[in-house]
Amino acid sequence: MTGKPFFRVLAIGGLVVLPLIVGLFCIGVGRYSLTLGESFQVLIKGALFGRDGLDPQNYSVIVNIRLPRVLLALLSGAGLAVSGAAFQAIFTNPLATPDTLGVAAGASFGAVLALLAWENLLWIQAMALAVGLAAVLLTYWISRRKGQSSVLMMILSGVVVSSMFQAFVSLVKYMADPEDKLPAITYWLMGSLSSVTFRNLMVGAPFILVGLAVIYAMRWKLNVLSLTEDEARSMGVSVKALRLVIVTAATMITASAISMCGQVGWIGLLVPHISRMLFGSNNRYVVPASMSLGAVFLLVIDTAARSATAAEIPVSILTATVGAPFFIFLLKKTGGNQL
Amino acid sequence: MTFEVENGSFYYSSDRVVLRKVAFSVGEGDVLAVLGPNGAGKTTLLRCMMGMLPWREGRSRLDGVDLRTIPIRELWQSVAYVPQAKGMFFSYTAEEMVLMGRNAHIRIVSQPSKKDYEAARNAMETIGISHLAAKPCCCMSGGELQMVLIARALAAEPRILVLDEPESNLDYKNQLIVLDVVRRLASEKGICSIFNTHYPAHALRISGKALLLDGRGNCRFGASAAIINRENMRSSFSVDVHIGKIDIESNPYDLVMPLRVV
Repeated sequence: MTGKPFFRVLAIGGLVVLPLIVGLFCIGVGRYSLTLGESFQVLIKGALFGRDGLDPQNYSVIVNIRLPRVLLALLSGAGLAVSGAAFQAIFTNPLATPDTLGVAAGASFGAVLALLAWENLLWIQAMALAVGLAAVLLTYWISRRKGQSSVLMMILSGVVVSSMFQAFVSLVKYMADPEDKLPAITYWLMGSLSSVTFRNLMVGAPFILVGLAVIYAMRWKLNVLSLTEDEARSMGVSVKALRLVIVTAATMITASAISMCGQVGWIGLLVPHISRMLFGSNNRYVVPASMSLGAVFLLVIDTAARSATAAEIPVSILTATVGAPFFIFLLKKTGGNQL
Repeated sequence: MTFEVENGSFYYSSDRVVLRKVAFSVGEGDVLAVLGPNGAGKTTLLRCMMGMLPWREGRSRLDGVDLRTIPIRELWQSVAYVPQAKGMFFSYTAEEMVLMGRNAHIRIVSQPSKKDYEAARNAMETIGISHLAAKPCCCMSGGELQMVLIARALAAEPRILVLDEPESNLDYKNQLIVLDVVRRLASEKGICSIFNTHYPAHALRISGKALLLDGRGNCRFGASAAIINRENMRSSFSVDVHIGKIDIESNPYDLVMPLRVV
């Protein structure tokens, strides 16, 4: 994105406005549907004057039911996309994502374990973060040989670590009470944003926001970190320390998103690559673009999930049907080597 | 400015020493060529002397100060490293790539400033690749990529340039361009260069000093013309060579011709 200033302004403006417009549109979509204007009115009046003077049904549907869900979709989508972009940069690996590195599986295991024991969202968040972090460090450790870690080794060790933690998840499911806990765990794992409330959001959102802020602030450094380790060091970067900060931020985002909406896959791969195709590889632009496009992507998917059919479709099914073909396309096009 | 290695030894395990008591010193405007057979530890020497691998014994000094005691951002504002030009995963444009060389001057949560962009543009202009600015690195030829990496190192405004086999994968024309740039940076800007090479003739062409590794951990250091001789080449490379000078259009050229394996 080194083009003319005019286009740059247009692109930046577009990326800021797009999630807002799509959000406004999606909040009106559903069994009880409202036009753009009506949704806008409800939101503005609700924010300024409270619920007085508004149609109580409109207020209840928009503000109480759909708003937290729309906010969660925007936030998680932005977060998962940015953490994907960050993982790809720091591991110099275009196929690194929360899913392929085992972070998602690790975080799920942590969350499921907490779900079984406490059912308190803060605990679920903390456990998801701790185990997710352990998983990514394990993957990194396995893939490193003689101070190098190739794309292939990292993907393979990610597969191993993922399946290990998925087995642990199955173990927990096997031991869970089939009357009560098992259905909750199973449905949660498939990914759903339906159960979110403002209270949940208040617990989970700060983790995502802090993670996003850290990565956004350091986004130019991601370019330097995406070079080989010797190169990055020779530019005066404390590679290990910076990597650890970014890994922690990205894992925090993933763990928090997973604890609130279950295992929603593929966004961390899909969105950063689309951003690169649109704006080039410079992370100075890839990070904000991923934020915006990721938010829109998950919101659209979730809106489809809740309104396409009478019953809700789990989000992960929809992201996978879009994501898997895209992944195949990337592999075929690049051989996993250059993007 | 002086850069010196004192008594530097390196080994992975003590029964196989890679480098034994390496010692050399270079100053402003010097060009030092590091020669040696495959696997003799040329790249290891570069990595050790810059502190990317720890010396087991001995030390590197910059202006008399032990390298290990210099804060990394300060160190890498003086020293810049040009790795071998290999393919990369993310296709930054040349300008974005060169800009990364400014990293040691940019704070951790900051974006590159106007001054950084200017330094990047100057670096590209110095070695004549301004026309590549918007070209993605993945679409470049080996020669172009090598020049971009040199520009990236220059963008840090270093006093010492360390180059790992800068010309070995290039064709004749690009070899000459790279060698010429290294020589020009030394003579015009006083930038000291230390580079690995497989070509003794290149060492004689541009470098006043040479360091010859023999593959058994030993090294010889001195003026290129004195170090690169028949006996030393024979003992390091196990190859008989003919070394001569020829005048072409009244310019003298050094010639190193391999004759046979010993």
